[in-house]
Amino acid sequence: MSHKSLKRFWRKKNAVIGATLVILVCFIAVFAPLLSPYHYAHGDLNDALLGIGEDSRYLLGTDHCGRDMLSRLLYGARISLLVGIVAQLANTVIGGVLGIVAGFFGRVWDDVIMFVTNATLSIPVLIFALALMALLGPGLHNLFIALGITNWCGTCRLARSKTLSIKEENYVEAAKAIGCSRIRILSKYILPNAIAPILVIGTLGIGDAILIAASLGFLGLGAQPPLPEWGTMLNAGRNYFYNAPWLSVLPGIAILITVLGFNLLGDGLRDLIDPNTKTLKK
Amino acid sequence: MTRSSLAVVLILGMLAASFVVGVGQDQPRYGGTFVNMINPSEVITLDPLRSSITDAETGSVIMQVHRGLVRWTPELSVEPALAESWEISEDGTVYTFHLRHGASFQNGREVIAQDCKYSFERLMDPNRGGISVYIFGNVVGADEFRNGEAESIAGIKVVDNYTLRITLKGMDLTFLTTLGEPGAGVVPSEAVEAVGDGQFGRNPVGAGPFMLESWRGDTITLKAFEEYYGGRPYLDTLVFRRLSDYPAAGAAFQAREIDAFLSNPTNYPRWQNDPNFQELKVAELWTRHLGFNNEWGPFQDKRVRQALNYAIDRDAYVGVYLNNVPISATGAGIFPPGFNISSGVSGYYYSPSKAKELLAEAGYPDGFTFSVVGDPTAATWGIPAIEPLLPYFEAIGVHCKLVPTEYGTVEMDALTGNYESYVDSHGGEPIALQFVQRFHSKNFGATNWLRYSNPVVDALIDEAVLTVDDVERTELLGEIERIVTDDAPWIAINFSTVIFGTQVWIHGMQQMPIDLKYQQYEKVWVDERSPRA
Amino acid sequence: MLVFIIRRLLAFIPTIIAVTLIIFVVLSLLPGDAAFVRAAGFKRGVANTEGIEQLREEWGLNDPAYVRYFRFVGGLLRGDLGTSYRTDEVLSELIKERLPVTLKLAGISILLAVVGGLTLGYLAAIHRGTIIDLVCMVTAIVGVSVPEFWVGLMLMLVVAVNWGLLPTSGYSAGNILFLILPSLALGFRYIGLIARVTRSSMLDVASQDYVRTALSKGLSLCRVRGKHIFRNALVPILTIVGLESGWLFANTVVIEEVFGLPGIGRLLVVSILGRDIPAMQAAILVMVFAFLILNLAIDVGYGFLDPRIRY
Repeated sequence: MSHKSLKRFWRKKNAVIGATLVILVCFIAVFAPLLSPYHYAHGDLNDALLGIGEDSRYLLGTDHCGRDMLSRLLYGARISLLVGIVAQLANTVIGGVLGIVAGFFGRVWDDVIMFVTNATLSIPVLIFALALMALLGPGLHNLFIALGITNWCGTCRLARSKTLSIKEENYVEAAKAIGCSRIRILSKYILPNAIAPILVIGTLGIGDAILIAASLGFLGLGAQPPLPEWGTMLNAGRNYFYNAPWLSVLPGIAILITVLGFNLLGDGLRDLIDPNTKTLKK
Repeated sequence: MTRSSLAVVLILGMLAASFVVGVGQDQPRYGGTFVNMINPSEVITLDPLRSSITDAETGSVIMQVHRGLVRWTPELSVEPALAESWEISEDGTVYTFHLRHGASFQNGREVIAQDCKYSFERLMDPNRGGISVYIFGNVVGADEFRNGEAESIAGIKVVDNYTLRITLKGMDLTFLTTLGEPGAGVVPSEAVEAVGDGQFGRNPVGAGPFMLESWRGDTITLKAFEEYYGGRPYLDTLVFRRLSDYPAAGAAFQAREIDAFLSNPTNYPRWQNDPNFQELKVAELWTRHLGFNNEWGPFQDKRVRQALNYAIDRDAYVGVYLNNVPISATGAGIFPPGFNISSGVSGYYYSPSKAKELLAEAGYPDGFTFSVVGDPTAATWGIPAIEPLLPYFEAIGVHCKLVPTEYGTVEMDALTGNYESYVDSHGGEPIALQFVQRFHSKNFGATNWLRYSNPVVDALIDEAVLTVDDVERTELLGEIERIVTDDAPWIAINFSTVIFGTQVWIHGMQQMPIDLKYQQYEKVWVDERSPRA
Repeated sequence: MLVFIIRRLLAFIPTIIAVTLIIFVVLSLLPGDAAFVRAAGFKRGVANTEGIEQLREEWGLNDPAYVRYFRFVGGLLRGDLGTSYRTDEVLSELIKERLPVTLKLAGISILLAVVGGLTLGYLAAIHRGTIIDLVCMVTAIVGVSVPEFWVGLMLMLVVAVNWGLLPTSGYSAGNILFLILPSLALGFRYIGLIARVTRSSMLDVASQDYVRTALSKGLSLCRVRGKHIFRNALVPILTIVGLESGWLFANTVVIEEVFGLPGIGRLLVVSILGRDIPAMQAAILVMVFAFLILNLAIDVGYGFLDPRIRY
């Protein structure tokens, strides 16, 4: 990325806000044990359901098991971030590889891969992930699998179209003409040029991955209590809707801030790579 | 008319009207709809064949559609239902039931003794998957029938159309009570054969006061059976609605959309002083507990089980999490207090140090990990009930993994021994003698979910079942309680006290200690103030 | 035009086949299905291994995969979706009962989103650079970042509980009031998206030559806006609805759970918890089909709106 484009990046307010939020959440995730007053599983029943600011020991109140909401929210960042990034990494690799193969080798490869991609695209990610969780069983480790293998289609399509357009460039034609091996063309020309947009799409997908993980947690099929996954916390808070609504409000705000950060960052990155796109994500 | 006479007429009219309304509120009236809330764990079937005593939700609806020979009363005894009267022989093995004349099924046909024999054999039929087979387990010829050696149960004899004789292998003081269970409902064979066992649960025909009108999605609608032997119920329609969670139920109650719901103890403070909330509170006969699989891993060692019993602070749990509604099981034995078995047992109290000591003794100084299966939605007897206890286990180094499982599957896992521990509430029997059967090793796969087996306890239970003298029997039960409590096959957390909230226009609900849900809805009526009068 | 529609329909078919294949593979061939069969067996009083084996034989679960697949597809073509493991209900009946709820929910959400989005985008484009414009952009970006179920819970808290304006949950007697909050929660994400697209598309077109020509010829601003600019915004809006409808249908699951609506989404959740494979299969199939049909309709819609797109 050139000096000029970096400057452009910083000028875009959205991208800056996004980057700040992401860095903030990452910081929280990494230093959660230091920042949290309590361990997320530590609870004292005698302090259950305290409101926000009601007791100076628990700044954001406590939940129904007497656990500190602030600590749980902070630790929860670890889970959401881990799930989002790891799952998207898997998706990006799968989608990127498949897309490049389809675009580069063409013909049968292209037909088959595109067919599978289009079919998989027809199944909404959340539904697919739900079905997988149903069979694998609820729990955090299965969440990685379910989310990591269901959201690669967008990346695949992009990788393919990028590969196709790079293939048509003059220098690639020239390389082919002088007899460069396919591997060389792939590694020297295709990969370096395709990687940036692929990574951007991957980043944009992190927000969605976090949302889906939270939805699964909310349905009781994702991370299980006492893990402080934000969606799972929201689900538990439902039973105390009337007397302790903050149990349901706070985790949602956490999700919103995190996903917002990644979406803004992704948007900014995409503008960087390809300033002509003004449509929306996906 | 002159103005003054008009005024007089008006005033008199109003007085008369208010008189009528006032009277209307004191005397039962016919008509109206009662909308009830079912626990989020779904009712699957209305077939007595698939009814289990532990599943009170299903049982409570089955009891409206079906009738057995006898039924349970609020005073924890039995009263005549399809059987008008009965005699028991001197040695307690032969029961002769005299059926009511003119009691009919919802398809119009009269109930006769042959129907009883058919229904009971259907329950016991090894090819039909009946669940509550222990009800007739003691009947002569039952074993041969279950083994396939006999075509029918010799001990169930149809003497004539209105007389049924059941002969037991030995005296069994619990027999008459178990005949009041939902599983002992009498059904007409032609209705079963018409749709098949698989579909009968959704197209039930019974002899109870309400018949199934429709069952769509989350709502079961029953309508009054005009020819019910006890007379037409007051209500026209009885509806059971499944709501997604307790707050939804509370909201629906507030909006006057439902007439009754079970108040969740965690939300009780909100309703306590609400004038629109007619409270029906009863100490039920259920023990909420975490049940160990006594045949699995660390739980085979008594010291481990005892350690976990000392690890939790039941008083804080009941006081804070459950708003002091149920009765804490600190220091208690196995029986809910409602049974009045004062055995002098000193149970478990909160002592993490003792817990750690016992664990170390048993060879687990660093703790261990175990999983709990349970219903994910039940706040007082499912997975959410265990969550507040997790920190207590962590404090002694024991790591507990929660596995939310649909209730039917929890049951299946428990009955087939495919679990490490489960969380549930057990009870639903009107007498201690029946409740205690859960600890008999012969009931693996039936009511003994704990896989608990102690020959001494088995012998004592067998003896108690034959002991006619009340005092002696209570003593035996006390002895059993002391031994079982020491063996700690489960962690008794609290004894349920349930609060049923009804709208002010609902009358006729009763304090049913067996389970508040087992209401005799044919006695319930609705006054004009209901929007569904 | 007709040829175009037929072409699209034909292209539809291989996708459907591929989808049924994927669903079948995921749900019927993975090892996890053993637990489901066990649970189903238990419901029928069969708990021992021989009994389960017998059950598998009976249900044809031991047949080779392709046989089971064709049986599955055959059933689909006849409209037979099987019977629930859990409750023995005939699934096609159950789906028929519950589908209208989900469709209404999705439909009203899309409607609210389109109407709301169009209005907001239109206003934002006209009053470009003002606070309305800012609101539009913020709504868009927040909309895709916020979890739908949380929006639902917040709406429930504020509107239904605190203000008591609308019912909190359930769906008695098909009263449409019960669908307002859920639809708002579900459609919130798209209001911003559609607004943003409307705005930028309108701004694009506004600078085009033919618009300036029309204006100089004396056509009123309003008519120009309406006729040319607006119409052109419809294509990208259609694109958004198409692209995002997958997410919309999927999230009916969560919204139905939050508001206790008896639709297909709720059925899916309940059948997962109840280990009921046939019901899961039926619910997923129905949702995917609905999504595909919607996309087909949108493709055809493109053809109507923009003759250049017909091929």
